[in-house]
Amino acid sequence: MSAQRAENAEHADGVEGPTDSEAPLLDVRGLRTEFRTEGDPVVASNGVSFSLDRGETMGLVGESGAGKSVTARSIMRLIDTPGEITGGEVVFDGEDLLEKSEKQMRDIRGNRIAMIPQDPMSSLNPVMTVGEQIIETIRRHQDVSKSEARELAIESMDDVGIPDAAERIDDYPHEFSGGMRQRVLVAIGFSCEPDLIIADEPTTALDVTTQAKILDLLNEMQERENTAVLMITHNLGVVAQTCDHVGVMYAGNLVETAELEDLFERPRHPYTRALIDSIPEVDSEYDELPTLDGAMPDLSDLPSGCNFAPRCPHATEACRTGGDPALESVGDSTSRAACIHAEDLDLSESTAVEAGSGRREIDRSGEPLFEVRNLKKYFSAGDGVLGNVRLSWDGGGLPSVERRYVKAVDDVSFDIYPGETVGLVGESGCGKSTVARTVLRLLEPTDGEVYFEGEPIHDLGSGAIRSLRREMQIIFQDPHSSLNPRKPVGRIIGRAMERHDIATGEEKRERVGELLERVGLSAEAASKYPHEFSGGQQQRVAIAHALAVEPKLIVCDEPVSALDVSVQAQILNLLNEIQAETDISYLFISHNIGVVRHICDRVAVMYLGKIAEFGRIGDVFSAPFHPYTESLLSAVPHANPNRKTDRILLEGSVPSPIDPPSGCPFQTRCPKKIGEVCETDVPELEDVGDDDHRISCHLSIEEMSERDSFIRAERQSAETVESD
Amino acid sequence: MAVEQHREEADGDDGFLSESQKERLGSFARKFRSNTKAMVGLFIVVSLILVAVFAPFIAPYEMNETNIEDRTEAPSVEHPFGTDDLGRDIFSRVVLGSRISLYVGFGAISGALLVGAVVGVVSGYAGGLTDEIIMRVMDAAMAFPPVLLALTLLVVLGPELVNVVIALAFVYTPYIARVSRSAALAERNEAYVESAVARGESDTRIVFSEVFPNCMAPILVQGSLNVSFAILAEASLSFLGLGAQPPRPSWGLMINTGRGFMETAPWMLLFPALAIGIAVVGFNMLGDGLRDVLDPKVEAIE
Amino acid sequence: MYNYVIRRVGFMAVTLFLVTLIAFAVTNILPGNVALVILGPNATEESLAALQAQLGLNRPLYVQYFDWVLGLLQGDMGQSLRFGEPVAALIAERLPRSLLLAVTATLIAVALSIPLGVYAAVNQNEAPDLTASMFAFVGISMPIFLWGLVFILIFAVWFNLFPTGGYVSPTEDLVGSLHRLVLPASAMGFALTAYIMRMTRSSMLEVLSAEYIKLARAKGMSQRVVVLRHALKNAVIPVITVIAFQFSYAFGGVVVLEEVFFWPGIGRLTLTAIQSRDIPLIQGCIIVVALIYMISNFAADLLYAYFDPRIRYGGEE
Repeated sequence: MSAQRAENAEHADGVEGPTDSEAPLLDVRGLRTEFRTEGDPVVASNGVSFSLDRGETMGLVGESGAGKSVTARSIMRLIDTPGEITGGEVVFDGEDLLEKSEKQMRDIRGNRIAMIPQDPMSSLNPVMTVGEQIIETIRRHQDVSKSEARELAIESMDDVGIPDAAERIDDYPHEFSGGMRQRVLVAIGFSCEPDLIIADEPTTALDVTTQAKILDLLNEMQERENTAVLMITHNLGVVAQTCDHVGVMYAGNLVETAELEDLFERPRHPYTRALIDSIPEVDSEYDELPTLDGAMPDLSDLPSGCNFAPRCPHATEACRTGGDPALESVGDSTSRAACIHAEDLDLSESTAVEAGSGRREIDRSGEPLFEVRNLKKYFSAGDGVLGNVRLSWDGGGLPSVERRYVKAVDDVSFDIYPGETVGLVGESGCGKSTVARTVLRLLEPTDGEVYFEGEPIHDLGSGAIRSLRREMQIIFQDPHSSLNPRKPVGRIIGRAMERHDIATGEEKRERVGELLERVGLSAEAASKYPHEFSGGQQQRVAIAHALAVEPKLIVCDEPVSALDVSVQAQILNLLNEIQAETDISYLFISHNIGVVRHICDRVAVMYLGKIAEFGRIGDVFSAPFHPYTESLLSAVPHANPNRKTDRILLEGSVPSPIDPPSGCPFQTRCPKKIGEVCETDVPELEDVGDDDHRISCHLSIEEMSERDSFIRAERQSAETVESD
Repeated sequence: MAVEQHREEADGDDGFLSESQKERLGSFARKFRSNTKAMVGLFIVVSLILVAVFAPFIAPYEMNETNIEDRTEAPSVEHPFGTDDLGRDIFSRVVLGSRISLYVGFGAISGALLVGAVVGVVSGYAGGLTDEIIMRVMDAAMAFPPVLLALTLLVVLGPELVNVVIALAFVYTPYIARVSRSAALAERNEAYVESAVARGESDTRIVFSEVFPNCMAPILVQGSLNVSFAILAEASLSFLGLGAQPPRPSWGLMINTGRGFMETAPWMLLFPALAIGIAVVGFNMLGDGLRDVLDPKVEAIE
Repeated sequence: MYNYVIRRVGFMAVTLFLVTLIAFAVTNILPGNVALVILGPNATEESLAALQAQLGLNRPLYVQYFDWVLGLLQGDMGQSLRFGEPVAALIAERLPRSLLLAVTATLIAVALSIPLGVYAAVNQNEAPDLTASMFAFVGISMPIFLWGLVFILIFAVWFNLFPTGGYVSPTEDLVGSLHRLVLPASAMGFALTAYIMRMTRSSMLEVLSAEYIKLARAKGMSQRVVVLRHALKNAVIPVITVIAFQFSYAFGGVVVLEEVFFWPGIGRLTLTAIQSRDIPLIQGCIIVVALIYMISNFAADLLYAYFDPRIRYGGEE
C-alpha cells in the first residue's frame, strides 16, 4: 500500500487516540438488541459480550436465527426499525460507539470499521459502475481528488486480484462473475484501511472453489493490513480455516467463546459439541450422524431456563428452570461457556461413531434399476418464443440469425442399482439439477436414453409417464416451496396415494398417519398447513409425500442445503434409515462434498454439463483424481483446525454453457493441462481401475495420482498431505 | 373436473379440515380487522350495497317525480341534496343511482374475472407459444384506452345499460388476465407444482387444483380494484351520453346535466360527484387493504 | 442492446397488427354498416345494395381488412362520412392539440410526483407520507373529468381566474393559449400525479430495503447520498414504465376531458365520430390513440434500457 495512502488514512482519523496497545480493539459488553413486534419484543442479541484484539480474527458462528448478524450490525449501529439497541456498550478503540452521534458513526463506518456483506449478487448497486462504488467510499473518508481516488480504487482492485483493474473499473456489477463481485466487495471493505472488518457470511453464496479463493484473499489482506476481522458464519469449516478464536451463538445468546483449537478439541458447551459432530466431514466415515432433536427455538417463543435445555442431552431440572445461564470462564482455561454444568462436563470426545461395519455392500451383479445413457438437455438461451434468436454482426455485411442454446447437460451416462445411492456433485451451473429433472422427464430430454427397470422412459407417452411416477419420486431443495401452502399436509400426502390408487378413505388416513410417524412427526400433524412446520419438519413432510406411493427410486435434489447443520444431520439419518428398511434407491444431488461423502455409494462429479469422474465414493476420493475433482475436494474447508489441505485454487470462473470451451470443458482452468490435445479432443470417460472407476481426462493414471487420498481412514496419507 | 373438485371438497370436510383451517380464517380476519384501510373500505362497500338494496325505502321521493315549481332548489330539509332542473329530488336520485353503479361495477368485473382469470392462469401455466399468443392479444386490447374501447363497443351494441356491462367486461378482461398470468407464472416456478407433476397429476388438475387457489389473492385484489375502475368508466360513459340513458338516475348522467347549471345550482354536480368519489375510494381501499392482508410477503415477516 | 431494441420493434409490429385487427373487427360487426349510416333508415334495399357495392362492402371481410390496412400503411384512412374530408387530415389537425394537453399534463405530473414519492418513501409511515398517500388515494379515486369539473367550478366559476374552456392556437396567441391550457392540463396532471407518486413511493421503498443500500450505509454514506445517488437511480427505472403508461392513459382520458373543456382535440373528434356513427373516422381515431399508446411504451422500453446498465451493456446473458 502506498505511503501516501497510509498518511491520508491517518489524517482522516484525526487525533491519534490514546491507544493502549494492551486494550482490545473492540470490546462488546452486554450488547442487547431487540425487535419490537405486536407482542413482546424479540431479543435477537441478548447481552452479548466479547472482545477482539488488533489484527486478530474472531469467528461468530451459529445456525440461522442465532442472532449473529444482528450482533454484527449492532456493532456498526446499522439496525433498522423495528430493531433497537437497548443496552450494553460497544467500546471500539477506547470509545463507546453507542454514545456517538449518527454523524460521528458515519465517519467511522467504511473508514475504521468496514463491512463485507454476504451476497455479492445483490450487494452492489446495479446502476453504478464498480469504480464509482469504490471511489465514493474513498472520497467519503479521505481527502483526495477524483483522479487520486480513482488511482487508489484501481490499486485496491489490483490488491484483491481483479485482473485488468484499470480497464474493468468502469464496468457495471453485472459484468462480473459472483466471485469477482465478492472481490469488489472485499476491495470496498479494505479501501480505507479499516481497523476492523466485519465479514457477514462472506462466502456463503459462493461455490466451494470460489469460497476457497475468497477466504485466502481475506487472510492475505488481513495479514498485510493487520486488520482485525469479525467473521460471521454458519460454517464451522470456514471458522476452522480462518479464525483465531470463536464465539458460538444460540437463540440470541453467546453460549461459548474459546480459542480456536480449544473449541474443537475441548468444547465447553453441549451445543458446540453437537454442532461440530453433526457436520459430515469429507475425511471421515460414519454409520450415523449424531443429531440433536428438534430445532432452534423461535426467538419469540423461548423456553424458560437455558434456551438449549430442550435439546440438550445433558440437561437437568436446574437447566430448565434456572434462567439464562451466564457466560463464565470454565476452570482455568481461556474458554467461557454459558452452561451451569460446564465445569463438570467433559465434551472432548466426539459423539460421532466412526464407521464400524463399513458401508453396505451393493449387489451390482444384476440389472440396474435405473440407467441413463448419453443424456443431453439443451435449453434455448433467453426468454420466450424466439428468445434465443440473436442477430450476429460477426460476419460483416448483413447480420446473420443464430439460435443459441445453453448446453446444461451434455452427454451424461450413469446407472443406479437397487438399494444404492448415487450422488451427483458439482458447483452451481454444472447441470446436476437439470439431470435430476430430465431423467424424471419433468423436463423433456433433448437427446439420450433413460431406462427404469428396462422401460424406456424417454419413449413413453405422457399417460404412461404419469403412471410410472409411482415408482420414481423427487424431493426438492426448498421444502417450503415444495408443499402447496393452501393444503393441509395430510391432504398433500393422501393425494399421492389416491392418484395411484394405493389407498382411499379410512385406509388412506391411517397410512398418512403412519407415514408421518415414520418420518418423525405425529399423526395429528396431518391437519396442519405447511407454514406451521419448521424447515426441517417440512422436509420430513416432503419425504413422507415421496414415500406415499412406495417408489423404488427417489431423486433428492439438494434436500438438505436449505437446512441448518443440526437439522441436516437428522434428515440425512432419516434418508439412510429408510433406505436400510426398504432397499430404496436414491439419486442424490448436492454441492456439499461432505454430505455426498456421507450418504452416497457411488458419485459422479459434474463440470459444465459433463461427468468428469464417476465411481465408488472411496475411489473418487482417492487417487487417481480428475484434476477438477482434486481441486474441488481440496477446496472444502475442514471443520478441524489441525487439518489444512494444500488447496488447489482454480483460475478464472466456469465458462458459459452457451459457448463451452472446445475439447475438454475443464481445459480453460485446469492446473494440469498438457497442451493442445486438451483444447482439441474431448476426453472419453474411461475406466481407470477395476471397480468401474471412470475419469474423463487426457492425463495418464500416474499423473492423476500425485495426491493419495482425501479420506482420513488411511491415516498415513492424511499425514502426507499435511506435511506438503 | 367437476367430480374431482367435488371429491376434493368432501375430502376437506371429512376430518382433514380442522382447527388449522379455522385458525387460518381467524388469522385472516384478525389481520383484516387490524388493517384500517381494509376496514374503512369494507365499511363503505357494505354501506353502498345496503343503500343499493334498500334504495326504494331510503329515497324519500320517486326518482322521476318532477316538480317544476321546485326546480334547482338549494339543499334544504325537504331536499337534503337540493333538486335538479326538473325539480327532481337529487338525494333520491343519488341513492337510486347506486344501484346502477354497483350493477355495472359488479356485473362487468364478474364477467371479466370469469374469463380473464381462467385465460390468464392457463396462459401463465402453459407458457411457451400459447402464452405468447394470448398475451400479445391481451396487450393489443390494452393498447386502446378503456373508455374509448368501451365507447366504440357501445356504438356497436347500442347505448343500453346491459351493453355497458358487456362492453366493460370485455375491456377489463385483459387487465385481470395479465395479473392472473403473472400470479400463475410465479406459482409455476414453485416446487410444489413440480412435485405434483412428479406425483403424476394431469395438467388440468395441476392448473385448477394446485395453481389456481394460490393465485386467488392477487386476482381478488385486482378484481376489487377493477370494480372501482368500472364504476368510473360507467360514469364517464353516461356523462358522454353513451351509457345509461335519461331518465335513469346514473351518477354520470346527473353530472352531465349538472354541468349546465354549474353557476346557478352547483349541488346538481357536487352530490353525484361525491357519490362517485366515495364509491370508488371504497373499492380502492378494500382492494388495497386486501392486498396488504393477503400479501404472502407480509405473512412471512410475521 | 441491439437485440433488445430489435426484439421490442418486433413485439410492436405484432401488437400493431393485432390492434388493427381488433379495431377492424369491433367496427365491422356493427349491425348497421356504413351504407346504412349514409343513406339513413329509410333507404331502399336497392339503393343500399348499390352503395354497398360501390363502397366495396359486399366483398369478403378479409379482403376489406387487407384493403383497409393497405390504405393505413399509405396514410389513407378513408373519408369521414360526417365531415366529408379525409380522416387522416382531420386527425392531423386535431392530434397536436391533444398532444399539447397530454404532454403538459404529464410534465406537471412528473415534476410533482417523483419528489413527493421519494419524500413519502423516506418518511415512511410518518405524517408527510400518510398525507401524501391520502392525497394519492383521493387523486386516483376521482376520475379525470371530475377533477376537470371541480377545477372549472373553483377556478373558473367561483374565482374567475381562467376561462371555463376552449382552445386557442399557441402560434396565434401564446398567452391566451397558455391561459386556456392551465385548467385542463392541471386537472389531468393532478390525476396522473397520484398514480406516479404512488408508484415512485413503492418502488423507492423496495429499493431502500435492498442489500446495496445497506452496504452504502455501512460505507458511511449520508442519508442524502444514499437516497439520491444510490436509491433514486434504481427506483426510477420501473417508474419510467408507469409514466409511459400514464401518458397513454392520459390520452385515453382526453376523450372525456376534452368534452369537459370544449378542447377540440382528437378526443372530441372521436366522440363526434361515435355520436354520428362515422365508422371510418372511429377506426382512424382509435388506431391513432392505440398507436400513441404503443409508441409511448416503446419509448419507455428504450429509456428503461438506457437507465438500466444490465440491458444497456450486453443484456445478453
